[in-house]
Amino acid sequence: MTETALFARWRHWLMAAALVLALPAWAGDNLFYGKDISDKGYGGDWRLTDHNGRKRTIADFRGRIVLIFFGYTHCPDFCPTTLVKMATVMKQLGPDAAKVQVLFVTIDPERDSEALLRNYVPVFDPSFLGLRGSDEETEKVTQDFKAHYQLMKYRGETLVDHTASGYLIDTKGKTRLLFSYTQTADQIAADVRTILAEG
Amino acid sequence: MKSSSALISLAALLFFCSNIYAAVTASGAWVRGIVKGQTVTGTFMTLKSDEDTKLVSATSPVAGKVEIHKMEMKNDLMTMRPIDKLAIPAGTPVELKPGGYHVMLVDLKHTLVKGEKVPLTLVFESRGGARNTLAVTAEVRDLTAH
Repeated sequence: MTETALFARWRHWLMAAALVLALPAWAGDNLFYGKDISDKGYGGDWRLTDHNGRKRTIADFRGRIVLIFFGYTHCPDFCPTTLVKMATVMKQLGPDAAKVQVLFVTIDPERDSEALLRNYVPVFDPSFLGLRGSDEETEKVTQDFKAHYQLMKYRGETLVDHTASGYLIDTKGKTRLLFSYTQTADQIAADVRTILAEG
Repeated sequence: MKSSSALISLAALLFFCSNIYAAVTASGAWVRGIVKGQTVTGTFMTLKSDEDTKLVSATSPVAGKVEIHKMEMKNDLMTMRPIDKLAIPAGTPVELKPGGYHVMLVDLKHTLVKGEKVPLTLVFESRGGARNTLAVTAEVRDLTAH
């Protein structure tokens, strides 16, 4: 074997090694852009009502990937931005979007009636579902996802703080990933594809 | 006598100088569209002033109340709070945009429709405490605008 041929062979291994080493830097510390929370006990047995009046649990969405978010319709800023981002994810997924269900859970059920959610949520994408519950059910679902929310009265106005993270639940109903608000539509779509490829 | 009148003139001049109104302009003003049942929404725009000034209040005939809000993210927790004033430094455009500041229209009197022109009166306070107003027309965009 000539020296050049040896180098050519080594070069392949070097490139492969470089790729393997570069992979975690490119995709975060694991395979996903979102944070892997598979073993952190997120999810739970929440029960809510969708914007068409149907009782829902996570079992209803078995076989599909669920992207679940918390918000409220009186939010002028962050919540519409998140829903627009989710609509972009659906567009990027193309035919795979049929395997994904976006759920928008209101943490302000007092103001967000079923009718208001029905008017609001599908504006972003007709497939999106708004979910609401009683105060107890809302408390329960946020605890299931270790999310925080707080409603305060101030000068006759309701001020709301809430967790901006989103969660990916796989086709078997297991909560797998947590998305920070900084994650882009491209990154979320890529993670959806990675999870779908698991079969 | 002569010097005292000069002094008065100087004092008067200083008084007026400190109360010169900042020339503020607003550009690209828009209102996020709403659906039936929503009673609040945000208004976004870019403000620019030739003097240091601050936005201290606003009114609009379409809303019962108008507030200046600041949205912040703290460890993925979204918070939104009314603020008393928004500083507009001389020559530096201040963007009111999603993810930061907005002028919040509260207790809307009707469901705003896309294309509708919403009049707003913004009140600014200069360093000397003088107040001046700016009339702004903001166009209603889609609920999904960003």
